[in-house]
Amino acid sequence: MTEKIRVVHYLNQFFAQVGGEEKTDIGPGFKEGPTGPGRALQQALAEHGEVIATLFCGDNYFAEHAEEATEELLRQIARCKAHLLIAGPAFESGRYGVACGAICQAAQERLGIHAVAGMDEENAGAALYCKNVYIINSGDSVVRMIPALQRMVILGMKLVQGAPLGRPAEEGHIPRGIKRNAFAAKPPAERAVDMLLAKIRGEPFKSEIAAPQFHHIKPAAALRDLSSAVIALVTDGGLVPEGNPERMEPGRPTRFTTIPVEGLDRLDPKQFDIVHSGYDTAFANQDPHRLVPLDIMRELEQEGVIGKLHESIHATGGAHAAVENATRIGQGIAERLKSAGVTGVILTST
Amino acid sequence: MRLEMGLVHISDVCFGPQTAIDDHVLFIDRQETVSLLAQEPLFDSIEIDLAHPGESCRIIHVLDVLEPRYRLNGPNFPGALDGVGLVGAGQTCALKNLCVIETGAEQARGRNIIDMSGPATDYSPFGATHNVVLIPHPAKAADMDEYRLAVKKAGLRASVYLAAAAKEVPPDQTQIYELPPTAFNHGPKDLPRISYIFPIHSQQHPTHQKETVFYGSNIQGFLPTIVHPNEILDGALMFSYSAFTYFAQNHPVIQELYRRHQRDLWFAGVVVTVAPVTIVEKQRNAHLAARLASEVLGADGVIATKIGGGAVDTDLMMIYERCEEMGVKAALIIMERYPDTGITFVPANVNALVTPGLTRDPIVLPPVERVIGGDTLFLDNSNPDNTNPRISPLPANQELRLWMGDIVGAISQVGASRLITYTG
Repeated sequence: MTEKIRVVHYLNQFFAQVGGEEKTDIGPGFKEGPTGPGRALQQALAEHGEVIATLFCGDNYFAEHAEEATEELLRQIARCKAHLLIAGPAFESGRYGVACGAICQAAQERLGIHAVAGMDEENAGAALYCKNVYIINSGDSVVRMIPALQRMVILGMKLVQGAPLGRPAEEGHIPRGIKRNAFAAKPPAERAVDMLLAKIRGEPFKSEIAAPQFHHIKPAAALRDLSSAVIALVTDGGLVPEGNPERMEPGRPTRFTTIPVEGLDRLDPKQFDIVHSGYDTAFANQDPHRLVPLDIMRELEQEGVIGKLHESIHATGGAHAAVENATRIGQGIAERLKSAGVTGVILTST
Repeated sequence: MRLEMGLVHISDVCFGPQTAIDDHVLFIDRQETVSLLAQEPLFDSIEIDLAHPGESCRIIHVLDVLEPRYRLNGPNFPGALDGVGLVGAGQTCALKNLCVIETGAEQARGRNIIDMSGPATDYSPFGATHNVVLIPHPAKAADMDEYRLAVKKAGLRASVYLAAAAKEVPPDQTQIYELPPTAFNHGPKDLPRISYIFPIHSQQHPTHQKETVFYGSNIQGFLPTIVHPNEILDGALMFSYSAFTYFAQNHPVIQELYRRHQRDLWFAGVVVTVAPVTIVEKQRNAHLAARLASEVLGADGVIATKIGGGAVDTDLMMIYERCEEMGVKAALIIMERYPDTGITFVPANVNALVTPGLTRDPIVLPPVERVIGGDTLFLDNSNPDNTNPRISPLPANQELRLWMGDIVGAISQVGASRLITYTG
């Protein structure tokens, strides 16, 4: 990349030189260019990048108004047309660390920009955000400000440039728990034969892939009376409104969409699309009822077989879902259905 | 059964007045080769190009990769190219350090790429080979599925044609693949008997009616069967998708089992199977494959691999479980696709998995001077998952941000790669 990387720096009220403990209730703010540790950040970036702005927020304010603060900070970051967000380092300060993690994750997910936070590995923010955010382990002492920022810059530049990352220990970040490739000493076929022979001989060996951990869910009790039941339709088959306005992922879903169907008797193929990378969607695109039986459910509703059909369909594209994301999506949908008084769900998968 | 593979090392390739090998240099009569391959009515025309290691050159839209082979006493790729016949015994000429690369038009989303220099060559063997690239252009009315099959057939034809030039050349090395009939030979008592269960295809992407995967069969309704490992190495098998035929011809597991045969194991044969689509068929094939390994081949241990996407993970796990239930120890080679998903279907008792690598790991390929096999790629450099369906094509000579799995040959599901994974 020949153009300079545009960097936004997030600090708390103290490091942004707004004030100490007495200012922790101050809301999000904006300063042009680098402030405080931002000067060291600019030095670390050298000619490769420019600290466009410093954003800050009081630690207490962020803790108590996380959503509003995040919205405001994201607005500012978007306005700066930043490529990279650097947050902290927060060292051992817990509230500051949590804010750094939260704003980095939000910027990545909602603005699609790269972000690097810095904090001590014992910081509460590290446990909360290390899975989704690159967090440089700054240690707990402010004395490490400059080396921590240098590490953050090196990692941030690699992210922006799409350059390969070294192992967590080499990059200085807290492990994220995600798989990466590395060169192996022996080819896979040889390792497999080694592993099998060790297994046959009763010698110790270690599988290269660990089995995922699943939680067992106790099924809800069966519905006793369908004629009073409120039934919802949910699918992981990728139903979206025509044109996929929310840009739902065709695979590896991280979210679900809610499609209002109140008053609709049929799903018109012209008004709906199927976005899913795991199966041939042609048939469901011809007739979405092959995926979600709204037509039949309406009939059953009119005949009084079921009490009521819920006013919206929840959908996601279920191919290759990470267990963690699938769990979160499921919980999100279940919470909505429960609070809407839904008593039964028809799940259609593909 | 004994297969003698005569290896002829190729140090360079260029076009010349006639197709011949002289002092390890392969000369190709371009006109003769083009006329041979252009007979195909589904092609409007066909071009041939050469790519050499170290060149600033990128080959895109790769459909398959072959090592040129010529059998001195029998049919070549029987059922697929030549008529009915058997392979795996006798003498075969192999051109080493040279590959035939098939490219296919109209693969809008296909991103199989070979770079002849730069970071991709750290991972793929095909950046280090001299490559003869076929660029067949489809005829106007050609059915694209049939066109794809015609391209694969043209690749076989070119491979045989080029390797035939080695007929009169003394091999640099002769590799012997020999196993006695499994039924008569139990091997030394102290060596564990190891078999290989090899699902060659997953019908989640069904084979075409006219597709020639195994001895010319489209393998629809295929049941597990025992084959001699030499047959896989010698042209009985060409992959449908998700793997390159080069890795059947140079099968890493079969070669490894041969390498260690009589040393620390006894190679007790190969069971070939496919991954079907219904649960009943999956269960049946897993049962039968494990039974063949256990009770017919008498295996103490089984290696199994897969071809295909996540659906075939279930077949692999069933094979593992059925083997272990029958008292046969099992180890699997199974590719990882997503950094956070892991392998979703792993029963708790499955404890011996080897990874050839993670496909969704980012790699950046620098710009190149020359592209073979097309001009553009449907690729969103800011989002290599291509989740945006409305991307516009990107000039293929530019910097590309891809996944490791897009690099042809970097990760083969049958166990060829230079990679392992770690948790970052």
